[in-house]
Amino acid sequence: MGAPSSSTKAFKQGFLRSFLLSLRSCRNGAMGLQERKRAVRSSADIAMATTRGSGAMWPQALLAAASSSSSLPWPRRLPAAATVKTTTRRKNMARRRCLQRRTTTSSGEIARRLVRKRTKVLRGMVPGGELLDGASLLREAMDYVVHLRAQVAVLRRVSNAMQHRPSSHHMTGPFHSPRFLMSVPCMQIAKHNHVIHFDLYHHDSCSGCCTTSTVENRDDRKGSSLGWKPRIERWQQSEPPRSVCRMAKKILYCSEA
Amino acid sequence: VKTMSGRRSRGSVSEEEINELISRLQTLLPTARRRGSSSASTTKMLKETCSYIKSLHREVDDLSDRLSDLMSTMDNNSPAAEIIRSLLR
Repeated sequence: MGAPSSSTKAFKQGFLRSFLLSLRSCRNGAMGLQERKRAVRSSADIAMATTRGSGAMWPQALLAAASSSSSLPWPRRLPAAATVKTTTRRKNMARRRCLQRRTTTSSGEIARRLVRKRTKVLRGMVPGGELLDGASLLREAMDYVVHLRAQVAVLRRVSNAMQHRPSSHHMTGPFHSPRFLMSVPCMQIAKHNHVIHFDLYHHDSCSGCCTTSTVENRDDRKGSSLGWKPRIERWQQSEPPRSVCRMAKKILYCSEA
Repeated sequence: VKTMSGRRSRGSVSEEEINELISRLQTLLPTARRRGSSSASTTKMLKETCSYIKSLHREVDDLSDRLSDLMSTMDNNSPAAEIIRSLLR
């Protein structure tokens, strides 16, 4: 499906950041399983919508649905009260017919009915789709699909990384998951005015199943790990587990730009 | 890329624009057959788009379920958990 564009990459990074941050609240052990599942799902949705921003319609609808009730199953619909009726019913009908006009076969009527039915289904699948006319609906659907795919990819990498995490006091060979987890500090480092990127496209060296991510300091493209040191040293002062420091050092000296 | 916004003057969208959108949508879908893409029928495209979105939704659900399971079983003493805890505080 072609190489990911830079905007997809930026989206994935932003999404990952927001998602991980919002997961913080889900780590509370007091949550029941179902509750945590719902929380994780809505964290993913909210992260996706907020990262996408204002370039499309669906993020607003998704956010509205997620905030009104986090227990709604798919598809998430706008609550009726929140629907903004900006056009008259007749105009809406005319707009919706533009998709049907495209069908010019001899069995036109049946085909048009099918198109109408399927368009309705599509409206239900795309957040905010009920308000859109044919062309906008298609555009929104495309945008939504692209970002859904990105969301799936990031979620998959996160869960793979967490699955391969080292158990206590025992480090697995490849540092894929530690590397991934260690890249989380970059969110803190951002406070120090370094621009840190998750490089989710760095070579997947481990049979494609694990996340390999490196942290690049934008100011120094030679793969300098200088940005890490302050953090690590602070950890050393507060005595983190030794294995953490070892992991950190190995990642610093292993990861290439 | 937003194009042809000026054509909306009469409240209708041109056929070419719809066709273009449909063919662009077709390239996104995993099952698209690309021989002479103009043969994409609207109904088929709509149906494939809907089922693709549905399957993506299902994947997101599965993955987030998996994640929440993983999170619950995270060993509290593992260095990984320690890192996440200290950094996401």
